[in-house]
Amino acid sequence: MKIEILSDVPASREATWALVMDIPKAASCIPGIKDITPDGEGKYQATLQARVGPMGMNLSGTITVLSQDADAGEAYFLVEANDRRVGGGIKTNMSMKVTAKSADETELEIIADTTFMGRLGELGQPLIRRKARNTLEEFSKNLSKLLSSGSG
Amino acid sequence: MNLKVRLKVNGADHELDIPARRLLVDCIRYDIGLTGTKESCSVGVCGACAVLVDGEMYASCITLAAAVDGAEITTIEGIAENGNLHPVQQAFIDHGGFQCGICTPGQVIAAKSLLEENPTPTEDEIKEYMMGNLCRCTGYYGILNSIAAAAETMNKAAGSGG
Amino acid sequence: MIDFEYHSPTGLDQVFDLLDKYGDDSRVMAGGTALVIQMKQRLSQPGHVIGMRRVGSLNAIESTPEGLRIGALCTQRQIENSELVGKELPLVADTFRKVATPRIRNMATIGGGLVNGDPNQDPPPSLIALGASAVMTSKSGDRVVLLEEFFIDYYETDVQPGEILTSVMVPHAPAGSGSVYLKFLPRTADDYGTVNVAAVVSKEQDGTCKDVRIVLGAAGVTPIRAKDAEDALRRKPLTDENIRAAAALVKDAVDPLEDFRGSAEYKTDMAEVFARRAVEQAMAAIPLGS
Repeated sequence: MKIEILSDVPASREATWALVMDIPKAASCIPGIKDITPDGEGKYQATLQARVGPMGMNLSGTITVLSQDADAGEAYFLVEANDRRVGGGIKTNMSMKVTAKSADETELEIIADTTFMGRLGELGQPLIRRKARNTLEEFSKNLSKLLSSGSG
Repeated sequence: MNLKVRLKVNGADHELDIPARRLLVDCIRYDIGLTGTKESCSVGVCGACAVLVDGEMYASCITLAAAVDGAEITTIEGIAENGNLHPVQQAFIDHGGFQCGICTPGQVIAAKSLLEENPTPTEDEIKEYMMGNLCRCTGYYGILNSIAAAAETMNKAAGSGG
Repeated sequence: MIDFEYHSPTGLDQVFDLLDKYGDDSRVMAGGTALVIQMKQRLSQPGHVIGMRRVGSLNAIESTPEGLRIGALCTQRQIENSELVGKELPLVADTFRKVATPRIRNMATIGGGLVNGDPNQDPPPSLIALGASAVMTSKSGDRVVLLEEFFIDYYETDVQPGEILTSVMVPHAPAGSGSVYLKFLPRTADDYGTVNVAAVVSKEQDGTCKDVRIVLGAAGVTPIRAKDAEDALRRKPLTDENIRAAAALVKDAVDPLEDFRGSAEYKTDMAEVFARRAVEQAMAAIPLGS
């Protein structure tokens, strides 16, 4: 499942890029994320608490920075997490791209290509897609908030 | 996690020591040994598992046995009267109310429950009450005819003129 | 089926103690028709199930000056067959009669259904259209929540930790109004609706719309009150044209999930069609001389 979010962030390209590449800080903008800890070069462990309908999940896994190009303003990540108890997991290839619109406005493009496995893969597609989109939109909004409050 | 569950099934008292997760259909079939009640869809939709709990039609496949502790359960094995088939059972035999028989215990329990609640149902009322009992064999008319015939028999017997 | 511990409290105090003790690891079970299936499918895996069957005093239907107070543990069948409900809240009796099958209605309760938060279920649109509220009870007392604000997301309702729903307050429909609940069932009679609409309409002497409520079910992740459609019709003459124009606005209010009953586009189209029919039929149900 591929989801694209395009948003305008009230901050400079530099500040936006800096936040995107600050994994612990950026990841804290994902709703439900907990316990982000470094685990080697460009790798982090994290847990995500999420609900889809009546099903509550504790997904735990890794965020890996696959590549980054500061000049082009593009970075690629791999997120893999699962919940053994529920028997479901996700594998997301995510790209983030920053493009300057003006001195203090930047366009942030997030593209997440996700495979849902086990239990999560069995839930209805429309529901999962809606939940995934809501999560990404809130992530994007939280990033914006952080940047506009000047702490980015 | 086991717990004690007391059930009166077809008039006989049972005291069981079973896991909390035991479903009523499994309790009836395996713990008590009455296999007349069938499990088919497992989600309460098809009606094959229908039993009476304190006189009310329940789906035993989505009922925890523990949740009906202390209740009076009536299964298909318990509806014969004084060694004679219940009028609904006889009507199903006489009017082609079953073929393979897998849905039949649930159909008979539901029909008995209907006629106790409404002794003179119209055809529409029969259909509405029985809508939760699915059958793959008969095409339903045999079942509807059987229920109508049973109603007539029961009302004649009760002297209400049918 | 997962393993768990089953508790059988006999009073609300015991229920609150159990909720305190087991919190997130517990689920309250009323009729169990939704919860047991969720547990079988491992969508819900509580370590503790708090069964409400022995908690008395929550299955009464009482008259109040404004309408009826319906105990949370009243079964749907009890509500459907209640003389009091049939007389004072015919829309409610009619709506509950349309839920699933008689067997399910013997087991399922009004409270359990509301807390479950399944957007496809029948009762919420009608209850919301009548302005009903849920009474949420905890150790600290009662909290009243308008059902219109009770449904937050897909299977997510406004139940705070330590609370259980103890009764539903349902006001009478406005004097001289007509109401209807339509359930679009193109498949089987025991299915969920492809789209559901409850409408309550009252009119002035001169035939203009005095008030209207249009609430949809199975058209989003929660029940949806089509406020823009209502606003477009309120105080306007109840003509064919105005009703159609209002129904068209329903399309923007809904956001259906695609499933085997239909695509999101199809369900949106049907929401408009059934909203129009619901308003028309509610109008037709207005008692003569009102």
